[in-house]
Amino acid sequence: MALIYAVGVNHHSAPVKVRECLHLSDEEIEDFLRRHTGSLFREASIVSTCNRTELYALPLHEEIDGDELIRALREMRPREKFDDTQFFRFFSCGAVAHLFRVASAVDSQILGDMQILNQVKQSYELSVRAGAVGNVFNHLYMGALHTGKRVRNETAIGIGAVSVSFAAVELARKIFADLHGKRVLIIGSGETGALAARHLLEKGVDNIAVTNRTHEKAVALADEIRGRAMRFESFPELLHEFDMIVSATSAPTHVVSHDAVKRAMKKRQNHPLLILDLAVPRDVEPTVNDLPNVFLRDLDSIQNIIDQNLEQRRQQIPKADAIVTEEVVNFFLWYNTLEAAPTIQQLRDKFEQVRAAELERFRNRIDASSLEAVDVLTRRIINKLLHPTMVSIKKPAYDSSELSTRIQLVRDLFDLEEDSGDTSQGNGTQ
Amino acid sequence: MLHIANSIAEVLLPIAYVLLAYMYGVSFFSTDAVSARLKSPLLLLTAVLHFLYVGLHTAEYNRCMVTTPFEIMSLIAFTITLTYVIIERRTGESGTGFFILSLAAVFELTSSVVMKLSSGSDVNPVLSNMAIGTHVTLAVFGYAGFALSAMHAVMFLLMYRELKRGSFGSAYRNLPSLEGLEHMTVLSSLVGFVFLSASVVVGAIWLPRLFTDFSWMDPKLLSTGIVWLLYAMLLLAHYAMRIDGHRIVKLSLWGFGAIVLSLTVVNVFLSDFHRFL
Repeated sequence: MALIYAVGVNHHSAPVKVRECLHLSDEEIEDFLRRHTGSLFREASIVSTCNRTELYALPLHEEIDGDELIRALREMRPREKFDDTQFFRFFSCGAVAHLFRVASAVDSQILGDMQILNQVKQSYELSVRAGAVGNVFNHLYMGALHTGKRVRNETAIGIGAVSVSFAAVELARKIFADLHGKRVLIIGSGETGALAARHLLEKGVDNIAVTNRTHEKAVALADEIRGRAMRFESFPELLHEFDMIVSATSAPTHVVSHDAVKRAMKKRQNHPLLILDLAVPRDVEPTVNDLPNVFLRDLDSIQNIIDQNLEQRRQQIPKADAIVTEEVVNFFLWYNTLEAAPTIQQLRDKFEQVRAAELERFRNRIDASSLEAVDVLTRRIINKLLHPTMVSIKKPAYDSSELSTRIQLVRDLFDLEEDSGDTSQGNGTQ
Repeated sequence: MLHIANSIAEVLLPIAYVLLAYMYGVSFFSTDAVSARLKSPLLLLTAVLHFLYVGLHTAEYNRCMVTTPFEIMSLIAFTITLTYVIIERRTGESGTGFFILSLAAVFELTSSVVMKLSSGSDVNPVLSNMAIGTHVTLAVFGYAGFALSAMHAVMFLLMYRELKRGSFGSAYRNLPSLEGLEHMTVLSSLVGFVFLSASVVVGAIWLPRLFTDFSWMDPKLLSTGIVWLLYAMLLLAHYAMRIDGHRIVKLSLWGFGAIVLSLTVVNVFLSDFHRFL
């Protein structure tokens, strides 16, 4: 049986500089696959994302190994010098398990980042377009996508925010049922404030005001996010207008005082107010959190949410790995049956030869319509006679010796001639 | 045949409720995929089973399930479960299930265990009267609404505390938003209030006609009046005075406390004519 290989670079094996350099565009991948299909490999695909460029291949013959596949991959960037140790190599079960782990986001840099499942699907579609997918890779990718979906549905590996901006939105969603229509004030239009504003806009918050000591900067950010700018001097008196405040200035002292929030809460009849203090040193007087219906959270507590979510995701790895193992076994149960394909074909051919010869002997003895009826009848009889043998030979085998014994038994029973021996020939093209 | 089916349902129901509360609990406190997958089908199955039980029980004894405290408890459990089925189906939110269905399970378990012990007791003939039956059924629906409101209020306070302290545990991960919980608290109170009001109206019309010793000063009537007033205040505060947040949910809990007091101490020890069970 031909071995499936997985080679390439990813965040475990190579630094970002190398990964960046080997990142391939869709056009490059398609070109690579077209160029090498039939000469280097029977079937192949490439998963190329910001964290990995991985080639999965079923080599054309047994002499082609992982090193040769890596050489082909390196040729995509002939001017670059790569260290061999920056490439990983997997084969057989290891290669399949790796792809399944990738599709399940267990191998992702951000554990549980389910975006990868889509990227794996896209890499499959790209390989199909390049004509590099046959029976084996069809099964392989169906298995990978199925595994990814199972891990997503049966574990909590993708649950919970793991970045500051997502955690901030998650926190807001735990207070407000719907962010749409909520009024948000961003204090400070620096990088953090701008990022928070853009993220909130993406999540459906469409009523955002921005304030900054330099008013022009507030206006610029407000224009970008289709919000409104507010004078820095006036915002403490207008706090009551907002349901959520994100503060991220570089001020050395508090810019939002306990008294200002207390006055605001009175004016807003104690409606809940979420304040996210993303600044260091902190912008908001900590005692603000003592006011009823005011929820003040700083960077530490947001980091706390992220840490808890990551820990929860990490706890899901054994469950995800169990699913991956189960699906790898399923794939190989199918893959091993491909060894029986030549024997099945030979058996069919042999029966067909006997049938055709016998039919030929009768050709001149009966009329055309009867001959047609006999033709159909004998074909049916042969199919029925062969069916149990076909089923039993194709039955999944848990080890290759069991399958080999089964194949040999059939060959001996039906006196089949030895075939050319390269059973892998048919694997990729059936 | 009817009796056998009824007996089977009587055994199966508490088991189903315990299993249901367990599954929602496991799903709330952990990430167990099996419980997460099976809990909703089991919820539907339990609701259907309870519906059949109510039908079978009514058919077997030829009266509504409002004649003993334990029948009423089972009816409350059924009403809570049915309301929760609707909430889960409509919102897709199952984080509150553990709390609500645990309450239903407590009602059903108490009902099943004690109903067995008191199965031979006589039924007060006054409860066979249609007007009284309607009065009690409406009150049961009302109290079920208030119980749901209290459960949502408890969940609100759990969530509120975690958000305030920044200790993001199971409540933070599994419960809906504070706003959502507050909305459900008020909505359940409103539903309960409408049913209790209807029950009070029916009772005010029929009770004086049916009882010669009727008194407006009966402790049960007074405590029900206090309950009604507390929930009226809650709804007024929320809808007219725009008060929300933890003040509203605390009112809901005060209201539920008054109900518990009304159903236990007042009902058992103080009530005079207004005691049939």
